[in-house]
Amino acid sequence: MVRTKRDRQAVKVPDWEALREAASKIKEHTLSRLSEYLEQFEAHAIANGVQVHWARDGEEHNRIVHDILARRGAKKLVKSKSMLTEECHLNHHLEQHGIEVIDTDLGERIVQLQKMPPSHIVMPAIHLKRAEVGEVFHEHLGTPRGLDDAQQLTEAARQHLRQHFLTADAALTGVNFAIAETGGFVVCTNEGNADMGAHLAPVHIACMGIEKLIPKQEHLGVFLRLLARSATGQPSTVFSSHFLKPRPGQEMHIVLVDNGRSRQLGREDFRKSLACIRCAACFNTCPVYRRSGGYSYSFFISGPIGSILAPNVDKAAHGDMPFASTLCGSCSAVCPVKIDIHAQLLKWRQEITAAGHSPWWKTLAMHATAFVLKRPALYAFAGRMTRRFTPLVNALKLDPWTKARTLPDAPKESFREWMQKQGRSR
Amino acid sequence: MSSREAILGAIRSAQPKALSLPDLDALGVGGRMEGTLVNFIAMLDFIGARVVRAAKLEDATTWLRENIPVNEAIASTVPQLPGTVDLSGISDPHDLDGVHTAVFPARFGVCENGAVWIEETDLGHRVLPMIAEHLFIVVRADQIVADMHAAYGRVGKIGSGFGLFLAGPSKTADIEQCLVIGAHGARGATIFIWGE
Repeated sequence: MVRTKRDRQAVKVPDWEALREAASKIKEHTLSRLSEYLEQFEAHAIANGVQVHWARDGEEHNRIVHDILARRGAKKLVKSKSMLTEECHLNHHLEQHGIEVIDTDLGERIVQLQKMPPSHIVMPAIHLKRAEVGEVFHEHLGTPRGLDDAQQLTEAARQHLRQHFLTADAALTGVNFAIAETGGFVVCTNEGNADMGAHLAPVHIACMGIEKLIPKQEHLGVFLRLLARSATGQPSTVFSSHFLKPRPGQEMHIVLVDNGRSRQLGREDFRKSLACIRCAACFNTCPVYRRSGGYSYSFFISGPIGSILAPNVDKAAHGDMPFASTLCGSCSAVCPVKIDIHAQLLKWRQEITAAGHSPWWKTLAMHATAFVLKRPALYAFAGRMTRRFTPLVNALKLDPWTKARTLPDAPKESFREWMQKQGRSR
Repeated sequence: MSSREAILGAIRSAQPKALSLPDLDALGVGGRMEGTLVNFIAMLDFIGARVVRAAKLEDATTWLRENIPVNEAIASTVPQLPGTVDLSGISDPHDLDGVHTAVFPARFGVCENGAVWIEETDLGHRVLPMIAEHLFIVVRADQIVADMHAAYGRVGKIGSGFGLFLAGPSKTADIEQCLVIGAHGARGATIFIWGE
């Protein structure tokens, strides 16, 4: 459904392919001079009256954010969507220090109340049915039991979150694009939650990965035309807010986070994954994601892009993810910044296997397969056995896959046998 | 070594040989969509904004009188369309909670996506377009650009500390992908287009 909306919007833009090419090239250029652009961005941001912090990893990021809040005695933080803070487990860290964190994106608030992580980076609660949201709101927001109207549920969340916006001590937002030449940054939302938080609270903290940088403001034209169309099939997000300076009396902070990105930058085969603008077009088109959902992946960013980002963080822990793909290439075809996702999936498979992170049974199975495939007679015998014993496999349900699924009936003869018969009858 | 130095050092040793910046014109980016008023209005309709077309700015007075319930708070930064809230007397943006309609100007509109460009200096308070229940945005009919590249050409250097492209009323589809107008920001956006 979202995929169809994306396609409808993309075809309406005559220069769509030129935009993808431009976006890809701008990102490649930026990554090749990232250190300079970061220094440029920092200098301009400081000149704008913004305080800039650098964090090597998630832990340092969390410490920086907590220090800012602690200095101001902040007790309540309203937060708009930021995958980076998910990556760093910021909420947990702040809650341990007695700070209340309110996720303000509707989808994120729903899963936060459920004490669950987002299952999609753009639509965090996409896996839930209206009635399930109704249950959550009944329990936490006191809406009537059984309420399952999206309009009424959204209204309840609006009232609930407005109270938090009005009483928050600080606001945290993500960053969609940071501009080196101005020191400014752009945050895109449809709900207006990033703006509600940032423009009301006395402190605004914006957290960004170092790869969010683009050289010039005019480049926003390229990226903003691609982002919303690729993400939700809208011509634009409702709010594309350009932050440059704090408002009078406000404190504004930017936290620049590495957390493994410089390592990925050094990996030539995987460098391009840093061009990602987090639109999730690859999720929405992926035949695996669409069937299995975000919770079936081991990394906080799921889907195709998550599957090439995760092994950089931990090859052993997320070694499975690049294998959960059909390599159909649909992800690469829709990617607005032309990341060769499916090619990187294949490369990760090779790296993970070479590093010995493939499970022993998979290695054994591969060797066994190779042994059989090299021997035609054995192959024909194995085929006969498989055809005969399919009903037994169904009955035993040894593999988790077969617990809820039945293998189709095997044909009586192999293709080769059938072919030979054709020759005889002619 | 500070984290700043450590990160920059790691990046310097990891980044590849410098690549050149692409030439957007040579790639054929931009200038290929029509920037007409008719298309702009059609796009506003598509994104859920209401359009009011008028010859003169003063015509908005009638529309506001007829469409906004009496006794509701109107915060306006358009001198010709005075509101009921004295914005100059408000120093704390929290006090804007409860504003029924915010009236403010946009510098120009973007045909390809229905967005309008708004500068902080035209708002009084940055939060005005989000905290108000409804928006009444005034834009001149001859101030329409075709696409976002032309738009950034118009924006130029942002002199103030904040600017925004606003495209219609706030919305969400986070519950079972059902589109709901009116998330945290305004529940409705009226774009008042005046002049030839």
